Amino acid sequence: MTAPAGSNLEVKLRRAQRRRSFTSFLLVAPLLLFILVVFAGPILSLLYFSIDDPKLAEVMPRTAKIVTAWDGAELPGEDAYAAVVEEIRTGYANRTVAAAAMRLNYEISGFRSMVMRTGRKIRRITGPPYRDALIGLDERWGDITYWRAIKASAGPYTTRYLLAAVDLERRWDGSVAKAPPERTIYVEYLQRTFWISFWVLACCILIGYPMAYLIATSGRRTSRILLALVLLPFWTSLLVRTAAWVVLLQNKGIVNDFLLLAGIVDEPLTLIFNRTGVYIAMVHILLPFLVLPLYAVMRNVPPDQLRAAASLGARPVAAFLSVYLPQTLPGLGAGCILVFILSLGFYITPALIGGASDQMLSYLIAEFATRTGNWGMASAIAILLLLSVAALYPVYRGLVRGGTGFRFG
Amino acid sequence: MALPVNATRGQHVWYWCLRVICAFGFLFLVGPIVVIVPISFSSGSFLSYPLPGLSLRWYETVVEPFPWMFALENSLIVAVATTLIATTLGTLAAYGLTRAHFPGKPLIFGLLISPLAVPVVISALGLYFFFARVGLVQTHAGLIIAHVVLAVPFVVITVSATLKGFDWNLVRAAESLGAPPLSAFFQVTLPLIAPGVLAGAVFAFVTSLDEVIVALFVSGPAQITLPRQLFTGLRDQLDPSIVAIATILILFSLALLAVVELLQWRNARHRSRGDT
Amino acid sequence: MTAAPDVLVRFRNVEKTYDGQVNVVDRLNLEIRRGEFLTLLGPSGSGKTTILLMLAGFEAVTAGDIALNDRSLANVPPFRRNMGIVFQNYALFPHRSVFQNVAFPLVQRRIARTVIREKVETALRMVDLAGLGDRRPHQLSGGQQQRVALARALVFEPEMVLMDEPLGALDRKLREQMQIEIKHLHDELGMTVAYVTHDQGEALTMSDRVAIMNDGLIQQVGSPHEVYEEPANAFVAGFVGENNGFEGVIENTDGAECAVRLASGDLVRARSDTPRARGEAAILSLRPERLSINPPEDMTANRFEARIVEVIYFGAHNRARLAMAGRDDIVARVPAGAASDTLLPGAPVTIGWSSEHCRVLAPA
Repeated sequence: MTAPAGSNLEVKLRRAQRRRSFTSFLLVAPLLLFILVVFAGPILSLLYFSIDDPKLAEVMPRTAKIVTAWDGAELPGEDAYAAVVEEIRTGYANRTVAAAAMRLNYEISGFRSMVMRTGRKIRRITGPPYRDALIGLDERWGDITYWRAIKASAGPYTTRYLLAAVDLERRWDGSVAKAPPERTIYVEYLQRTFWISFWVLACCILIGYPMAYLIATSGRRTSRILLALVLLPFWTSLLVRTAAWVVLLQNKGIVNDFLLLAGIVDEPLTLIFNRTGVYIAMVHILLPFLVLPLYAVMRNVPPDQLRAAASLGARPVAAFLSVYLPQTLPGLGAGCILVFILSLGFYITPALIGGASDQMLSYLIAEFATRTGNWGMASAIAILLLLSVAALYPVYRGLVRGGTGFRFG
Repeated sequence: MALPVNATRGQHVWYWCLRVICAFGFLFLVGPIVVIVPISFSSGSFLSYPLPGLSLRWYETVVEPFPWMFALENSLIVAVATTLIATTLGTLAAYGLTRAHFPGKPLIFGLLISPLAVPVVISALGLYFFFARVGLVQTHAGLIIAHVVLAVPFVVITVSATLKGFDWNLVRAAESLGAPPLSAFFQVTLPLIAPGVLAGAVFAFVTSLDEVIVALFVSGPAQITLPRQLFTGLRDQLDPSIVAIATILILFSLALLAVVELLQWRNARHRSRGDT
Repeated sequence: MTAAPDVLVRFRNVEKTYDGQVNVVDRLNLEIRRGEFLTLLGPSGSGKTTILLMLAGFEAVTAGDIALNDRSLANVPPFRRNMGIVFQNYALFPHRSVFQNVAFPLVQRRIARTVIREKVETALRMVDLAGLGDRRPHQLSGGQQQRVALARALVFEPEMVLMDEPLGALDRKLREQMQIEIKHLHDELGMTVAYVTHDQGEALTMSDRVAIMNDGLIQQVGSPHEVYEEPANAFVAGFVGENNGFEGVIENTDGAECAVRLASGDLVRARSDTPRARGEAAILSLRPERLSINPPEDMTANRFEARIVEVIYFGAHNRARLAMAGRDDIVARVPAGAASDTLLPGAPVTIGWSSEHCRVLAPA
């Protein structure tokens, strides 16, 4: 084969290819645009919301400007007090001050009511000196920690949410330190999320590996039936399965009835609204996600292999460890990481079956977003969770590409 | 899994251990789903055995317009719309992605199926913030858009998988016989990848019908869906009408399981025919 | 060629590259005449299928032009080219019945339903499939599927028919039968056929003309007789039919006849169609059936002493492997009964051939 006549040819070729690529791309474009706008954009915007801090600067722009310039070492000057009085006065009149007060409350609890009370009484201040007048309304205005809180809230950007998500906070002098004990709850949630996911995964492996092996090595008919038994819960609504466990696990529920009847226990066990219930329900929901990829891999391991190993003198355990297990590792790995990733994001099941101390990161996100309206904190924890999942994803991709292609369904 | 003819004592023990674990596993998977079904026919209001008697009273509660039928109607509206949009967009995209090479193709594919990889709470949060700014919170349209995001990866995956086994010579044949590209797509390509498209549509439908987290974030009282009503019911007042609705949903998933199995079986048969 | 033949398709300086680096089709100048059966023959990867795909409009031409009836096809999409194509795996639509498959091109052309029915039935009768219209493609045997593909490609009376290794998937017996049927159809309908194959036997049996391809270049175009008896170069000689090749140097020339000195020192008299110069490197080509064992006394030009290495029985003929001129891979084809008893391995024999049948070729 000979080289083309000139580079002119290459240009033409590329143009022709581009035309075909372009028409194909046009087919992809609607969905791509949709996903970018409605999904990827909003997810990226979480990064922004986790550092976005506009509230105080919006309502009290002059105050924000003055405290930003203030060094925070000693109480600020009269101009800062004057700005606060004026901006609380206008903010209270047009009802915008509550948003700023809410933001200040994240820094020191009680700050919100302090601002609102100041607002109610602000009419009493008629002229300078504002410093004495304000301290006269509420002596906490003379406490430097409250001014430092205002400085920390002045925005427009803040690292407080991201730091808080890992139990850290920024001191007024700029140093980063561990948050006070009443606020160090987030790392505990993170640890708990990983801890629950780990045990759920361990149980799934213990039960799922033999199940997948049984399905893969049974006869055609049996394996179809067994597979259907795995697929039925897989296809059943998550809410329905959770509902089933709520019904089953109650103190007077079917499981306790059975245990009492069989004489295994003397009094009903507490199985719901605690960790046990969460484990049971989560394993139930996630087990198919381990069994199905494992089965897909095991089906392709020829049964002759174990016989061959035995004929070569390997004892059963040695044959399993040296011949069978290594061949199923890609499926096992893929299934494990799938289960682990999915369980990291669990929300519904712990919310309905767990107690207060069994909630995971997702619960915090939902609480902050929908109940307290703290977008910054919700975004920061979402980023924490997203990073946890993202760290595992490359491993999953690698394993799936290495093993046989597993499809859902 | 069979025991070798001349198994050792250890093998016997091991073999029975595995059998017991497997039996427990299958019972554990299917038991809860089966056990709650009879309770829905109980005449009493306790969620336990033995049943005091049989009745359909809880099903009568379910067919009351409020809350269940209202929730069902919402769910169906949202699920049908989601399925139509996700199937159309997903099929087009999968077709475009398989038809030609262009730069960044793996990246685009990864992006299109990324909603599968992100925990739903995070997607819900992003959608919630986005909808809050564009005024889609507490609207049917918002819920449908959100569900399309979650459902479309399944369509892209199933249709792409079907297209991988597709014989592109058939399209060439159609064109050489006088069919313009669009006509060739509708007369040849689409009928042949229909099992994959349908399977994707079923996945999309189920995803929407079963979705609760996003619904909790972005929908209001007027968009209460079946899963959301179930969630509220389970949290607030537990009565056998929940079990009755659960039973109906279990039957529904059984039917879907059958449909998908049938589709995959047909697809496999089609493909084995292709290479005579 | 004095009067220009009736040209249907003309390739002019056509080139094709997929990667911008290597031309899979290069400097292609080829004419397909109306009504002829032209075969593109070559090993896989020689570019013959690419030529067909360009003609059908599925691959863009990188450079040059293809004209149909003197009109450029450059901007004509496949569905307006009006060419019937038979694909290697038939590409029958599995979701449509045989009737619907054959009717497809007619439906696309919005032909009246009654006319369609009539035409499809005629086409199915033509390929001996009358009555099977309701079957699905997968319910037919490989040979029947092949006929459906043929009927579908012919039913709309296309400008020409393109066939891409259409018999490749059939077993030998069926393949030979289909070769004859396709040839008969061609003769009856007078259609123009461009046929791609790597099977040289198929090409020789069916074609009016054969174009032999290698590495993206046409090596020779000619009638089956021409490419077999007068190969243009060593590649053609080796690819079409069996061939004994010798390397040597031209010792002297006398008109069309040359004397070539082999490396072993033997002198061979051979024929050259083009003038050769003394000292030029040359390759000799000799067909096994032109090599006589125990040649008649009057065959004096080339006579050599040889030894039989082995004899393989082929039924209608025997194939003898001979050692001579320092080699042991010279093949002779001996008709059955022609003193085959005397062919014993190890036996010394005299072999010979006429200079007329031994051709001097340029090294490929």
